[in-house]
Formats: sequence, structure tokens, C-alpha cells
Amino acid sequence: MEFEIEITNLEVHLQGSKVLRGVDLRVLRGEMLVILGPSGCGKTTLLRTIAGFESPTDGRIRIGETIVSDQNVHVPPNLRKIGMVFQDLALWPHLSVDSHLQLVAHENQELISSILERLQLSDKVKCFPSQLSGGEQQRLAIARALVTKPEILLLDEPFTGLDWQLKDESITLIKKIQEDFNITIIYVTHDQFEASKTGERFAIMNDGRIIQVGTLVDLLDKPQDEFVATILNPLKTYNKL
Amino acid sequence: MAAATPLIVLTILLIIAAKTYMGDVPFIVISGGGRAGSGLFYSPGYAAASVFIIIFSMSVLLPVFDLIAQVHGWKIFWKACAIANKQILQSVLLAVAVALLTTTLAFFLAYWINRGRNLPTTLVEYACYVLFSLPATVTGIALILLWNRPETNFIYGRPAIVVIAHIMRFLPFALVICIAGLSGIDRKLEEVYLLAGKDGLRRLKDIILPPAKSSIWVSLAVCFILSLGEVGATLLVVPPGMETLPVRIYSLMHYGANKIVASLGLFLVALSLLCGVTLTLAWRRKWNLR
Repeated sequence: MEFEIEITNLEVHLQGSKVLRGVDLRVLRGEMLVILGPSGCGKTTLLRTIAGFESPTDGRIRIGETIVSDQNVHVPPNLRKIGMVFQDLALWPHLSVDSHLQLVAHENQELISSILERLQLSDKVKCFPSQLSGGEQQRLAIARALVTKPEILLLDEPFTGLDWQLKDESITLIKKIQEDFNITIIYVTHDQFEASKTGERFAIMNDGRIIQVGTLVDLLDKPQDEFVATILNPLKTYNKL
Repeated sequence: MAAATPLIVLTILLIIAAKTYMGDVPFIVISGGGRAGSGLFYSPGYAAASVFIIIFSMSVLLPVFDLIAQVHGWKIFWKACAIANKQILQSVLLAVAVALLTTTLAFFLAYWINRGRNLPTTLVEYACYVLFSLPATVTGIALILLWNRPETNFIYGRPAIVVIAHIMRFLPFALVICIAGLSGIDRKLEEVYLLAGKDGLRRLKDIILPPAKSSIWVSLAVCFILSLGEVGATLLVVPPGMETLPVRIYSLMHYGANKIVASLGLFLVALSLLCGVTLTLAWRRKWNLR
């Protein structure tokens, strides 16, 4: 099997506290892996470390054939071919939709137009983030991540705050993007239902560690411990209903 | 110099108290406790506003009205401006230079402090705020002791020493304003930009400066206005051949030229007011953030 990302025994300390405590994770090329875990378990820190915004105190991250993070190596974020959508989207308040993409796409107008069209933002090019709806803002953040032509897309709870209908539409859009761009996606969420609709493979995370990785059926049938069983319990109950 | 020590100690204690209770929040909100309608008029906020209006009237409005009363017409006002035209020009040029330099220095310091938040940045921030506690005369004397040497006379004997004195005096104000402005700009806005492969000055130009421009303009205006009226340190360090408007007013007071003094005082007030009004109007019309 070909791994796009291989994380080995990753430890990260932030402001004196151990946030990641030996994370081991392998992400296949072109797959959408969902990381599911409660708030504060280290999901965002894991994504930030993969992106290169945090440095590990121990362990290693390999992307493709290159080691990008360990105690001696730190490949800067812009050389990792990663796009990221933050939980609060981090849109630039002073820039229009068009300028958002122009700024990062090195004025590749053809690519910008195609992504704007695909994400249904073509008629909003002159709008500023404050003039967009919640769903449009999410799509702009995704568009901005895509125009850099990343090989890996990190999504940190990107659809928080959207209603269920919009969430469903957005998840469908993400799946379509993954197929079209043949991109590897790591999708982080604390919402079991959102996770179940999104992913193919799931990594359950708690207290700075990956507890179990597998398909939803595997995890529901053979939870490794009580935490995995508990966090997936709402899905089990829902399926029975 | 030693007399300033209690002031410095007091300032450090106040900075620690402010940091402890306010943390790094860019601003605080004072509300009327959520009460609506006439309840507001009996709230502590209303009492505080009343006290402020009384103090403002006594310390600002009354003296300005008194100045107007002393001028006795436009003719004397324009005559006074003509007498001090050289000093007016020098003061405006000095204030522009001080505003630009202080704000630039404060902005980069604020960026470093805001994004660093470690022991060195905290120490530098505190050191800058301590400058606030130094009386103008102490600042002037300290500069004389430091720069009045044959090897540094190329600075001491020139207007540069006045610029340095003003920067020392007004850096804390500019720093507070710039830190407040930068605190509202999420670090993630830069991180997204970084992922796109752009860094350095372009990041500053494209991502940081546009949202920070309101605080930069406020800092420029505050430094300009403060520099325009500075007299304490300027009197001590001003080189031969240079005379600012406040120093001129101070000299004229000794000759009892009350009408001229009042006119020039009024001119200073008008110039500061013009700066504030221009900034407010421009801010509303053009630079207002979306």
C-alpha cells in the first residue's frame, strides 16, 4: 500500500503541556481519512503539525518520500504542498473573493475561474467575506486552499456552524473535489454523524493519541476499548432506530 | 533624576496590574449592565459620563474659550501666525517626522511583541511602557547626558535630538495602539498566506497592514498631536537655530504678549483638532474596514 502521509510516534508540547502523546497514523494516497475525537484531544494540533505550523518534540512525519518533520528536519509549510481550511476559515476580511484567490494562485486566471465555477462562487467574485453567507464563506476557504494545487488537503472542522442541509451539500462537494482532484484529505471533526457521512476510513483520537483506525463497520463491530465504543454509540443507536 | 524613581516603580506596578487584569485583550467594553431605557440614566456609566463631561469642560473647553476671548479678533490671530510662521513650519515638519518614525518603530515592535509573547518580548514591552513614566524634563536631562559628547555631537547639535526626545516620550502611546490593532488580527490569516508560499514583506503588505491600518492612522494622529504640543523635553534639547511653536509660546509668555500667546495657543489647538477631525472623516469615508 502506498502511504501519502506516515506519522510515527509524534509528540508535540505546547506551552509546557503535552498535547500529542505518540501519534501513529498512516494515510493512503488519494483517500479521505476522518479523525474523530472530542474537543481538546489534539486534533487541530495534529493538523497544524502536519502543515508545519508546529514542530514535534519527538517522532516523525513523512509526506510522500520526504521526511518533513522530526527533531532535526523542519520543511517549511509552503514546501509541503498542503492546503488547509481552518475551523474559523481565516478569510481575509479586506479582500474580495477574487482577490483571495489571485493572491495565492499567482494570478493563474484559468485555474481561478475553473475553481470559482466548481464551487459556485462565480457570481460572488467582487464580494467581501462579510457579504457572503456561511456556506459561501466555507466554499471560499476551500477554493483558496485548492487554487494552490495541493496534494494534501487538511480540513479542520470546516463546516461547524452550518445547518444540516448545508453541511450535507458541503460534504458532497468535498467528496466530489477529492475525486476530481485526486487529492488526499484529512478531515477533522468531533461530530459523529458528520464523520459517518464524510469518511471512508476513521481514526478515533483521544487525549493526544490515535486509539483505533478502521472503517466505520470495523469500529462499530470491534471497538478497541470503551472510549471508542462510547464515542460511536450515537451512531449505533441511530442505526438501530 | 533620582526623583523619577518612584514614578518608574509606580508605572511598573500599574503595568503589571493592567496586564494581570486585562491580559492581551485589544479593548474592554464598559456597558450599562444590560439595562435599557431610562435605567441607564441611573447607572454607574451615566455617573461616570457626567463626571467626564464636567472634567472635560473645566480642563479643555473653558481654557479654549478663554483663549478665544483673549485673542480679540482674526487680525491679531493672523498677525501672531505670521510672526511665528517659521516656528509653525518647524513644528509641523517635526511632528510629521516624529509621527512617521514613532509609528513605524511601534508597529514593528508591536508585531514582534504580539507574535512572540515570550520573556524577551515582555521585557521590551515593559521597558517601552516605563518610558511613559519618565517626566519630560528627566527625558531631556537623560538625553543630554547620553548624547552631549564630542563623538555624538552630530546628533546632539541637530534637530535629530528633538526627534529622539519625542520618540522616547510618545513611543508607549503608539505601542499600545499598535498592539491593540494587531491583537485583533488572527495569526491564522498569516498562516494561510504562508501555505501559499509567500512570506516576508509581502505578507506584511498583503495581510497585516490592511486590517491594521486603522490603528496605524490613529497612532500617526496621536503622535502628531502630542509632538506638536511637546515643550518639556524640547526646551532642554533643542539645538541652536531651531525653535518649535510651543517653545516660542513659552518664550513669548515671559514678555507678557498675552494676545499673541493666546493666538498661537489657539492655532495649536486648531491644528490638533483639524488632525483629529480629518482622521475621523477619512476613516469613515475611505478606510473603514468592510
